[in-house]
Amino acid sequence: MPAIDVDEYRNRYEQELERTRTQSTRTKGARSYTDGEPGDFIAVDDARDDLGPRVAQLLAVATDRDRKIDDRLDALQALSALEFLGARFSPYRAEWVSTLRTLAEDPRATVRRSALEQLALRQDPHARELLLTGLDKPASALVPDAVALQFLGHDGHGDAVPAARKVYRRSKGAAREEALRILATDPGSAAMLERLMKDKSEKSSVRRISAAALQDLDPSRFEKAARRVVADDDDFNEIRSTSLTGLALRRTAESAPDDALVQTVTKLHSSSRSPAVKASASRFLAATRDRSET
Amino acid sequence: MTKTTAGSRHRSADEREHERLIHLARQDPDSGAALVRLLDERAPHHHGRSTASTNRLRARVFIEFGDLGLPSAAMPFVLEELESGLDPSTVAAAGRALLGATEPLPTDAGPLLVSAIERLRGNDEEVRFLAANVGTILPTAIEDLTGTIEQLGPSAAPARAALAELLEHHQCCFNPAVRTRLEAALHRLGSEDRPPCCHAPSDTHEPSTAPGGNDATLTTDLTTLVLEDQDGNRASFAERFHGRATAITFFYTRCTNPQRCSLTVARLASLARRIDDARLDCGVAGISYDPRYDRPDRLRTYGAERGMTFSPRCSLLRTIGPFEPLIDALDLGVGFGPVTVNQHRLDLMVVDSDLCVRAHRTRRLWSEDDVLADLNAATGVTRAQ
Amino acid sequence: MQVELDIPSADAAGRVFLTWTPVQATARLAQADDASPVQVTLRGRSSGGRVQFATTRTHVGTPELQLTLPANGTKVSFFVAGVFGQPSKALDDGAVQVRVAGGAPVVAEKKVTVRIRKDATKMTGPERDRFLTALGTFNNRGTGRFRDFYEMHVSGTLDESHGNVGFLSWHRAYLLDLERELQAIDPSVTLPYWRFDRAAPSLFTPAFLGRSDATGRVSFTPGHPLEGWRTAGVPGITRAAGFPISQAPPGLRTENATIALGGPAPNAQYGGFVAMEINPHGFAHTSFTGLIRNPATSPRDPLFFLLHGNVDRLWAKWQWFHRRTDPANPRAFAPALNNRIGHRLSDTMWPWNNNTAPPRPATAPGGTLAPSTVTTAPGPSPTVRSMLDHQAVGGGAPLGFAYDDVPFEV
Repeated sequence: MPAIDVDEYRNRYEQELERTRTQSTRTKGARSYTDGEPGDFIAVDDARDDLGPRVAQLLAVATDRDRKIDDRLDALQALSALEFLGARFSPYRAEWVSTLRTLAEDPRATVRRSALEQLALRQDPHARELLLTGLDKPASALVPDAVALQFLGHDGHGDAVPAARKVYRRSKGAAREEALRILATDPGSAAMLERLMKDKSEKSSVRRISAAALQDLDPSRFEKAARRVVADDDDFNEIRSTSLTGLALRRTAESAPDDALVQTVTKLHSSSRSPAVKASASRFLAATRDRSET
Repeated sequence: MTKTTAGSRHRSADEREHERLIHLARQDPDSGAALVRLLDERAPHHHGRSTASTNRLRARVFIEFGDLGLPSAAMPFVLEELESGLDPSTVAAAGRALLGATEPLPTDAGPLLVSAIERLRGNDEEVRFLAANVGTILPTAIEDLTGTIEQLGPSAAPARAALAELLEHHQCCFNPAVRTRLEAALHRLGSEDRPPCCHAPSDTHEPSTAPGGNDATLTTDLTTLVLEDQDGNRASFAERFHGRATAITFFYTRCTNPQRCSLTVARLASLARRIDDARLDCGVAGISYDPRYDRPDRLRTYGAERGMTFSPRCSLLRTIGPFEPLIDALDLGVGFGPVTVNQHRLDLMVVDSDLCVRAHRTRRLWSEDDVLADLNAATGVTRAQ
Repeated sequence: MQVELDIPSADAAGRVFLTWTPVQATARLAQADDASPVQVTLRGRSSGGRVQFATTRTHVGTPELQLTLPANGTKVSFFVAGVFGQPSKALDDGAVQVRVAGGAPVVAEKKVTVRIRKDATKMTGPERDRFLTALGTFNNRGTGRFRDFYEMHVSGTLDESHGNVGFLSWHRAYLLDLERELQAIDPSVTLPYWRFDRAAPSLFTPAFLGRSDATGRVSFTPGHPLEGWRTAGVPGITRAAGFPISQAPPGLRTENATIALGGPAPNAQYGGFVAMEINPHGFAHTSFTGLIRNPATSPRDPLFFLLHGNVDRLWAKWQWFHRRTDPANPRAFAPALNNRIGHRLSDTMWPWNNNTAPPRPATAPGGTLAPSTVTTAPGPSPTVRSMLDHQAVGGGAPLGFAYDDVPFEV
């Protein structure tokens, strides 16, 4: 990249802005509304304007089942963006939450899902109940199991652990993986996660989720399992990489270097043909070096 | 402002169970006491339930108090919820419970209603406890609390200054209809604060066990209970606390209510600094409710983030093994859901150098001044002995 | 003969860090061969970051500078800065060298890093990996001090940082605090930014900020430093773009439209510009599903910091273009709405001020703002005012960061 003359840079930028200004003052890309675009209505908004009429209009669009789905989703997006105004949005928050609770059972799947997620992010008890009911009675489920579990998982308290256990036992694929992530909040699941992490017959993604979960839930157990995986030349590169980075970050943060492990990783770094393993081994060795220097 | 009820209103199994418990309590000859028992965090009906479930039952019980009358034993629960509750519907229900009071309200009840409105202003929602009864028109939690102030009228007069300040500083946070109602409520409170004789003094800032009073010596079991600190050092309860008066409080790092555990540990850190500044031979400690999750590294980070400078006299701890022995021995108000705490009250106690509990503050936010006084008293008592 | 170079923007290990802001430095003869003054030439050496010199505080520098150093060891002052457009790619990839005029041997050298915040899509692979590793280390599987950062931005605290004119200054301090924490782990790291008005497909890959599946679950390459990411006790990240990642999100103001928000020069006003809080800022957040779309959960997705890097860059660019860095200029800032505390120029900002008295939040996670090894500004408890002139165009100490496309200009 060449050096840039600052005065010339200013002149060029000034010309560019002037070109833009004369071309258009309106934002491109948003879909049109009868009364402005959701992405655009703020374009003329002064920060002091009363948001009330605009919020009311957007709520009406979002809940109007006769509107085009894209309009409704855009209105939901615009309302979510207004939520970032903190205190300025407070007068409308209760109505916004009520609307989301209504939309959580909307006939349109995309609207339902969007509303349920926004409620789940605020750990709304109404949404929680709907999601749990759906897991219990699949015929009435508002979203697929994997999505329901993902939303329930926003509560780090582990209140959805009993439901996750059930889904873990009955499901495969994404739902089983999301169930595992919820079980990762339960110290009582550490032994199962360790077993999954070490199980070569398990899917790579399941082993990696288990390893990541164990790093937090039971670091000692993780370290023991990770050392075994890293030292096993017959194990898969994916889980070896995950284990190595887990060890590297842990070492950087709090542990003292360990000669035996450093030797194993040094050997692995030179012998492995996997870019992911090499990168993780480099990361581990760099972290160990930094640790020694400090 | 009124809104339509959200979503379909079918009763969940959880709600049906709550209705059954409420029905049974109402049948009890002492229905007030039976309802208060439903609020106890340790009661079996809370065990294994989610936080949402325990909140819902609390809200239902508070609503019953509004209808049936508020027993004095329930007042600490109500004030606790108004002071530091997080769930808007439960807080609003606690406000409604005050409407059932047959005796003069504590002086801080009114101001706590206002502080609850202030706390909820960024988190308002339509109340859920009325959904099954009212149908399609529901107030929000803030509207409901405002209505409570209006109905209490002069009984909530000590709230006047706080309400005027709320309207002055946060008027942009309320919609015009709520602002109008808040102004009306302010008008209803009267032009001047009622004289104190019309209100019961709040005794909730006093410890339930007075310093130098009927102290309780800890059981042998507890004195041998092993505690681990934020650095992984282990010692028995007796080894750790014997020989020095200590303020012990309880928390867990997964707590999502910033008014409870986060604030408790931040205040504990501040208390420790004041003890150091005053060169008192006292200590502070926080013990986690969630020992399997709150490993030493987690305790260390959590305390440091809240200003703790760790030392043998200032530590965060967890039990090695189950937490339950502490609940029984120290009479702690905590219940557990499927994985971790589902509901807890604030508990702070001061133990003297002989491990006798000299003060036990529950439910209400404590001040550093009060606890310093407790510590001074506990130190003095020990010396006198 | 010995020449001593003193460039004050150095860390404890003596590593020099520069931005575009000129730093006043000195050279002196520590040991003279005779009593005559010596003419020396300052010159940059670089495999990445380049430096320029001047004898006054200016944005117009030269690649070489002649100095005459008195034999008695008196210090001779000069200014050194990074060359706009030529930032470092790695630690110590630049240097200031001193040669005796006309002579070949280097008589003094200081290694230099021109540490600049960059467009995330233009980072090298190693730059990207160092940033991710520092972030993963800081999070430390959910037990690290990253917790402070998302607890500063949750329900109940948002009045401090949103919906008012201090929105931009609060977030500038927030990013700076995090960047300094990451630099304490790896001093080569800066916060990259996501230009949300342009397509950034390389950002949303498994090797960088992760790829989303149909459920909105983000996955990474095996061994990625964020693979063990955990916040608020919850593992992983959820996020799905509501637009094709080969394109920019629709409906967002472009950079030029954003810069035009406060009105045209010479009357551009901050009061108009800060409307960017909704669009593009709010709309950038809500172009996705997942943690990033909700104010109280958004900082739990690392994308937050790249998104806000761009928000801050846009402010910096507006400030540069309209020359709005002087807090005394009434157009550089605006009166707080409803006189809200924390949004007035002289107010200190929560949580760094540790003020927990109402109406501030009851707790102040994180303590004071992280110190820098290379600058004294803004101090542990920044005011709104202290955030305005980040490059110290008006003099004093800079905040210690700069953007790749926002020059220093006096």
